Amino acid sequence: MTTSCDYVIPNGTLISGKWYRRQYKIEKLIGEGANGRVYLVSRGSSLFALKTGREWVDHQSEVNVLKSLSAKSPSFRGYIVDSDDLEQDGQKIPYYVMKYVKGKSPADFIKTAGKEWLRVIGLNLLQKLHGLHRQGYIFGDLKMENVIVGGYGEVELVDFGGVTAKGNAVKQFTEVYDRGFWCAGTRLADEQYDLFSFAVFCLQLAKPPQTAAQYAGMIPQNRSVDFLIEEVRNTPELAEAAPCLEKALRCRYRGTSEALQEWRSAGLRMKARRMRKGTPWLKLSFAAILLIFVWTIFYYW
Amino acid sequence: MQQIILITDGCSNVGLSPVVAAAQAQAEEIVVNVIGVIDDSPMGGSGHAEISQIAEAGGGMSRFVSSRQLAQTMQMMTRKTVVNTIQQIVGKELRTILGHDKIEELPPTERAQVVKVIDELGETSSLRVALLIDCSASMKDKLPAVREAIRDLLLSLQARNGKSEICVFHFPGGTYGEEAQLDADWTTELAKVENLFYKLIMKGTTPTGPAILTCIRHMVGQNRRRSLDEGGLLSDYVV
Repeated sequence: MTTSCDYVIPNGTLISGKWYRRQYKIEKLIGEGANGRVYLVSRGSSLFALKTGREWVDHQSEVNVLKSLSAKSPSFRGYIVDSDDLEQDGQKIPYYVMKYVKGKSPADFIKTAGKEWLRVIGLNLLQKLHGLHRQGYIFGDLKMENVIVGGYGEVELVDFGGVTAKGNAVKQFTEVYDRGFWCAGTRLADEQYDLFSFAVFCLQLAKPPQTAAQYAGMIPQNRSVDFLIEEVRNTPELAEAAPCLEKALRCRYRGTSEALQEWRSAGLRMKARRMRKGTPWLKLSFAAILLIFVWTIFYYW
Repeated sequence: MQQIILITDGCSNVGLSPVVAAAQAQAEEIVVNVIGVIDDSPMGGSGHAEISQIAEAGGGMSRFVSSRQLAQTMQMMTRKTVVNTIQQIVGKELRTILGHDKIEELPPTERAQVVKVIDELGETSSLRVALLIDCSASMKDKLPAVREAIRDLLLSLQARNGKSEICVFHFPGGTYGEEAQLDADWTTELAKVENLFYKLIMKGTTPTGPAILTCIRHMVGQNRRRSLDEGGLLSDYVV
């Protein structure tokens, strides 16, 4: 039951769903993945993203997850807007409509905004994952391509094809981000699985873009957690995050809330350290002003 | 649920036609999937056609990939075969209720529920995958990749809720040129597949058909024995 893969809906087409009859205008194709295509569409003055499916069962399974998330979790509320079938030009294609997130790929964002944004992106991403984990799901296929970053480092997850109920086998993954690929553990859906991918994601973000391809080409004997940890340690931009990332790579976090807490305090600690460096100055000037003040009052008394 | 994944890089040249063998597998409710490994030279037209035909006769799918994509392809095939098989079973049920088995014709609410059931069954059903590896001379350089792909598949199967096992055959087998030789019997252990294919004597012939037959015999034979065991009474009389 596969739908035709090569059919691209032309720009400007007005489509309306078979069951609920809501109308959308196709603005342009904005993405293409293993499971389908994503179009930017408009309805009235609002913009949405519309994702078409390649396989009926896989697509519906993704919709099921998104609907249950939208209903339960505050961080995913209103994520899925509509779900229907398209019957056009003799094609039958299932689709769902979700909120449109304007943003960049994390790698592009870091390239223009600088690597100091890493901590904010990491924090927002962990918070997103935490929201998902609390609902009993894991993301599964966490990677550069499935994350979008907004103007001030806000993070949105896209492509929910890999989202898996905890305790099941991870539905979809990408080798470089996969715990099994690095001989670091199972493919069982647990919070630690996502945290491992999160660590590799941060590493990729701090390193040059070609790193992913280099890792993917490594022979099995050389793939190990120790190698990844060595890479983290040799990346100066990750100095502050390194303890968290190491713990995530070794799957030593009890859960995402612990990882989130440590990431947060690691980020704040650095600020605190900087301030401490300035403290003697501040204290001295404050004491001096106080002294002058007391002296002035005393003088004019 | 049972399936065979045949990994080969060329044409069979000895014995029974592999297409016939694959059709026999399907009759025994075993799905046959085929991966054609193409690294340096593109496969000849006849090899290409044979592989597609084996998969078609075996009710499975065929793909032509480089050895780098082997692991991914094997996973995808296994997963899709499970989903397809369950869809067929669910489809039969639907036909008796609705008169058709088309998931896409179902209204959204019903469709959501049917897919939920398919997903659940896909995760919990028991699964057996027999890997049948062509070890004729031209495959020699590809064997490390095959070994790695098997390790990877097992890793994914271990994470399933339902019982999942693999067994590994290679062909042509043994010193006397048997059709296929069993390298690892039904297992879920990574350790058992770690040392596969280290001591192999490469031969020129490619008895794909007879090898598939050996595989079927192994899968079906064990099922019979098992059903007898479960019979309880009868098992007391089986020596």
